[in-house]
Amino acid sequence: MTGARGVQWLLLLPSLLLLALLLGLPLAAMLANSLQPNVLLSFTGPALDNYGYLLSRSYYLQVILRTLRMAAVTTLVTIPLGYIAAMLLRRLSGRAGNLAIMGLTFPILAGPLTVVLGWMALLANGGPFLGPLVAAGLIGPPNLLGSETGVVISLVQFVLPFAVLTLYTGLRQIQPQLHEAARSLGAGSLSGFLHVTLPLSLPSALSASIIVFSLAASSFISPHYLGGAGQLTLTTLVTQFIMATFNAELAAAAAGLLLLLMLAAVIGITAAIGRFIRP
Amino acid sequence: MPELILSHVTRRFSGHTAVDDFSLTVRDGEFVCLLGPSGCGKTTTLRIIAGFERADAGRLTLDGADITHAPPQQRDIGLVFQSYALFPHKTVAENIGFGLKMRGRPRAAIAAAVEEALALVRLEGLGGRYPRALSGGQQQRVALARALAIRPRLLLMDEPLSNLDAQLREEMRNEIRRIQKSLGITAVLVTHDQAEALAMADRIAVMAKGRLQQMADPATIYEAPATAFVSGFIGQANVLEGRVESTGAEAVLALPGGVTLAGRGDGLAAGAATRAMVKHERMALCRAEPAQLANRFPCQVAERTYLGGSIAYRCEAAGMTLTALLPNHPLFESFAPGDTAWIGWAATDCAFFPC
Ligand SMILES: Nc1ncnc2c1ncn2[C@@H]1O[C@H](COP(=O)(O)OP(=O)(O)OP(=O)(O)O)[C@@H](O)[C@H]1O
Ligand SMILES: [Mg+2]
Repeated sequence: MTGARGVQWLLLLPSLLLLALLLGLPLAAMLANSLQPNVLLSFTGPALDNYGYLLSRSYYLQVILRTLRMAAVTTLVTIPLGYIAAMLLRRLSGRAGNLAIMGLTFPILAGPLTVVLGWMALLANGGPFLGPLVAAGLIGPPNLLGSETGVVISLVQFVLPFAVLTLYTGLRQIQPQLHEAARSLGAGSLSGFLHVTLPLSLPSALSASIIVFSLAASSFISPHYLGGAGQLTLTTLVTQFIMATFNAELAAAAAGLLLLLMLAAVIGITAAIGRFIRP
Repeated sequence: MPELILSHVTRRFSGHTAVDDFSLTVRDGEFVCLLGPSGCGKTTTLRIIAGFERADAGRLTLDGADITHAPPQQRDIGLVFQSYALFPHKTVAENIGFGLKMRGRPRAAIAAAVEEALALVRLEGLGGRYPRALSGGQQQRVALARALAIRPRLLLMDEPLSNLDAQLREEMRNEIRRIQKSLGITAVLVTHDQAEALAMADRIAVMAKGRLQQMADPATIYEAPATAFVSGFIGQANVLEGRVESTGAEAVLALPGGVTLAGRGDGLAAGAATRAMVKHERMALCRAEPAQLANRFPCQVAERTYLGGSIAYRCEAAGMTLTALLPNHPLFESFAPGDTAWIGWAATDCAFFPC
């Protein structure tokens, strides 16, 4: 047994090394850089001053909060929408289901930049959808471009396929007979769902939430094109530090904060959903 | 009076008729086995009764009330799935108590009912376990206890024993019958295992290609099969084909080789192609001529198969290949391949079916 284990680890070793090399090294270099002195500050050795600098200015705190808020709202909107879509998908038969999944993954194939450019046209006050409504006086100018709402709308669209696929895979693994068993024992359709399907789908809801939050918090294209300089998030802030102020050390610290934020979110989400998962 | 009546129930799936004009009455307190080969529509019938499949035509009544269109949760029918379908995220006690919880019973009443159900299936003390920590046989008992805890008007079981090993299966057969009798509950059990059906049922409904072939007590099904299908499906039979020579209380069948057989059958017409069927164990094989048997032929033993409790002999007689099954007992003669002997059977054991 232990021998077989050993061989397994040995076989895993090349990929582990590659992973450490490709992922670990840049990460370590980035974190090391975030501890270095930068032009704005006058400390000498490696220290947490860069982090202190960012965390002590309300402007940057607002950026951190905005990143957290956008990712959280995106997650809270996406998971229920994705859940409903996955439930509907589960009911479709083989061919219709495959077509639906292909349609769903199309935005992923098209690439986020293409889709975000579409959103820029669509969300503009004079856009093809909102323009006529504004012109007819039905709504005031919504000013979605450059707003947090606009970014969240496009983020939801971007992460939704990932959520649906994760939830769908999880729901597929729940035996349909379990719901029928609940019905035969006197549970209505809804109560069977609440007592059986929903609790059994929580592990996949947990995975989907983590994926969605991480994708939303680390996304760059949506906040960059739809939010702009008025709605900086940690990712766009990093770009600003690099491209506009040439401050690589603060950029590294901002990226380090994003990493911490996501780690905390993963722990938070796992604790929040995980305590309902039995046994 | 929990009596279940299916009248002319039909269910079609995209052109294919899974249940075809099926009528069945299960009496109060009766244990009925639905027996048939794989794919004959047993599960579909059970799902129609439970309310998970709609009937395209026909009517169902339970206790005299029409339940054809009632949703499953309002039927008060306990269902044991082949896969057990225990809730993996609930303990044994929560599984068993689920039906009562859905009925809004107070907590204490549920706890008492769960204890009672656990005792009924002899699983005292396992209420706190999760299903995955139980053996197959224990899971089976929990599934049964869960279905019974709601005190259903009718208990349905879909091949409940097919996932158990042979010894446990026999034990559970007796166990299920004991529980069913002690509660006096009306029950329908689906199986494709004829031994199970013969051993357990008050009455057996034999089904083929979505149609009811025969509904009768086990002995009648076995000894007086109504159709060639039932005769061939239950037990093992020698099958001989020929044409009817004369009809009447004792009919005569002429085989292609010129041999004639005496037997009995309904709906025979002189000259019609007809099939004779004789169960293997109703064949006599002996050295002296069995003068009292209407059908008897000198034969040669071609093959001997030792089966433990019995011995099967394949014999050649007047152009027919016949199998006789003799008890492995000193009172019965023993033969070796190549031996000559007499093979015979009574006219009453020889059933003719038009084909
Ligand atoms: N949902 C469905 N859609 C299409 N055809 C179906 C469906 N359910 C069952 N059938 C068909 O109906 C027929 C009867 O199926 P059913 O499951 O009732 O058989 P069964 O007697 O229970 O067989 P088994 O002993 O193998 O369980 C089969 O030919 C099956 O392919
Ligand atoms: Mg079946």
